[in-house]
Amino acid sequence: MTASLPTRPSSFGTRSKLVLAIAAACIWAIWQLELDFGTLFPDGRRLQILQEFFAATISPDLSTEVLDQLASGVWNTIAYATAAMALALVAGVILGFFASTAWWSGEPNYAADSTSVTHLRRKICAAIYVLARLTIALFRSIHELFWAVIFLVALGLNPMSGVIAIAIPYACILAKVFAEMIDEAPREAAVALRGVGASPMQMYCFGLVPQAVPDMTAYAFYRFECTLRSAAILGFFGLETLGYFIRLAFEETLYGQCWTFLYALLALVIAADWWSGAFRRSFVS
Amino acid sequence: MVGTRFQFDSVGLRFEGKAALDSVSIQIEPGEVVAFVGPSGSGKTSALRMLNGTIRPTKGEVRVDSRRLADMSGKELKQLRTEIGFVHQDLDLVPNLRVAQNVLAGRLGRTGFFGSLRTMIRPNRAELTEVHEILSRVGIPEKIFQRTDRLSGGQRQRVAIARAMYQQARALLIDEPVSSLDPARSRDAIDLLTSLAEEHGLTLVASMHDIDLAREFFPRLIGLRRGQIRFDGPPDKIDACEFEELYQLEAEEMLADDS
Repeated sequence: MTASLPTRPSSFGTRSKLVLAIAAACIWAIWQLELDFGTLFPDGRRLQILQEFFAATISPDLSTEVLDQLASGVWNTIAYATAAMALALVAGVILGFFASTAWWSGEPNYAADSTSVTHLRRKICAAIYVLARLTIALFRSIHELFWAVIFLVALGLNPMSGVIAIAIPYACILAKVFAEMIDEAPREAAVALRGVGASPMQMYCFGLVPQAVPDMTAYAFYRFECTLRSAAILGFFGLETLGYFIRLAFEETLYGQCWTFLYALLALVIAADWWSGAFRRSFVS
Repeated sequence: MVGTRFQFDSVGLRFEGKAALDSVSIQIEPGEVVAFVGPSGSGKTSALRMLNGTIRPTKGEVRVDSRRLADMSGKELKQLRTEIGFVHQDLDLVPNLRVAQNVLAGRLGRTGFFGSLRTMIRPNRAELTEVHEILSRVGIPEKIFQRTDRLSGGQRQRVAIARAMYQQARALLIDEPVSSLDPARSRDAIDLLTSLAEEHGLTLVASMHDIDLAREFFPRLIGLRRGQIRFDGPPDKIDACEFEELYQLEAEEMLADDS
């Protein structure tokens, strides 16, 4: 006798409901904002500006004066991005350590039965972890543009304001992602180190972190590309990065100049992407 | 002192309601070379992991050099583990570290955090020379600065053995040492292990799936099935039908999940 056919799973399951809910949310948002797609096709003066701006794509201004500004803009953008990334990396690694669970908690058979971690110490570690996670969530939720506004008011228009404004949210993003990468690294190698008498800290640093380092490096490079864009944008607040020159050129309707700087920004991001790719490949192989 | 004495006194282990080991009593003398044999789920790995206190018995006692593991503090257990090398079935080396670093990790238990940080990042000449000598012993000296994940299964096996040797352990516990190797390399690895143990007077306890290899290289075999000892002695004293019985699975065992 053959067994009867098991009940077929419902075709309208949780996943289908989720997709429908997301679609409904999209429609509601568009309706709520009274989006008029007609505004995408302006006429009159607006259309003229648009035409002039895009017509300039093929005639960027390459005069000596503009190229001088370009060099200083590119140089400052790289300098701001690098300084901000350096601060963010240091803070990100430290915060990321406290925000990961692998060095004090984790699956049974890991630190849980490591008798050197006592009950009280685990509680203290848990409190530090929660504090680190809250700090990260708080500072990460505020965009670098908002930090820039705060620091420009508090510290005045100087390089430190710009660098700190970028470094704070980036440090927290790096910390969050680093912590998750370390926590997701396979733990077998670390558990094996306990077998030779390694302490939880040694297991963490030599068993887990090395496995996460390639991903962490790749991610740090990606974030560096983002700091380049952020540094450029902060120029709109008056710091002399590419954004500063883009804004000046745009306000004076010098669209050719504007495109020179936009192309430079594009080249900068592509170069960073290419460089990080090359570095990543050499790191992994 | 070389070699470690291991003792099981009526050891029992219940795992998810099932008995993984049932009233097992064994004594292993310092310098003895022993293999646990039996089918999957017979309790070989559990028995091995109890020997260095990674898992604790639910019944009975495990003694190492006459000391009860149950009485040991965390610190004492950590100290004990620095003296017992354990090579896992999946080797569990850190894949993207160099061979030298994976071997150097064998002494983490004997160094403080900052000392070990220095060793792992920038080992000194003496340390590297020692690692190189050990790698020569296991036959892969030229691989010292290679990334571990670039090595073949057999070479990684040797790195894991080298780590245990660098650890200067008095006993080696090896879980399924040849599970990922082809037959020729398996023989090689077991030959290497047993001769190293004999040469250094180490106690060697391995869990072995391959009964023929175990019979060829191990002077003492302990047959386990369903957590109980079926035989214990030198291979030539064990009846052929006892080996056969050990591996004859009942239908329900064939369908059961591996444990």
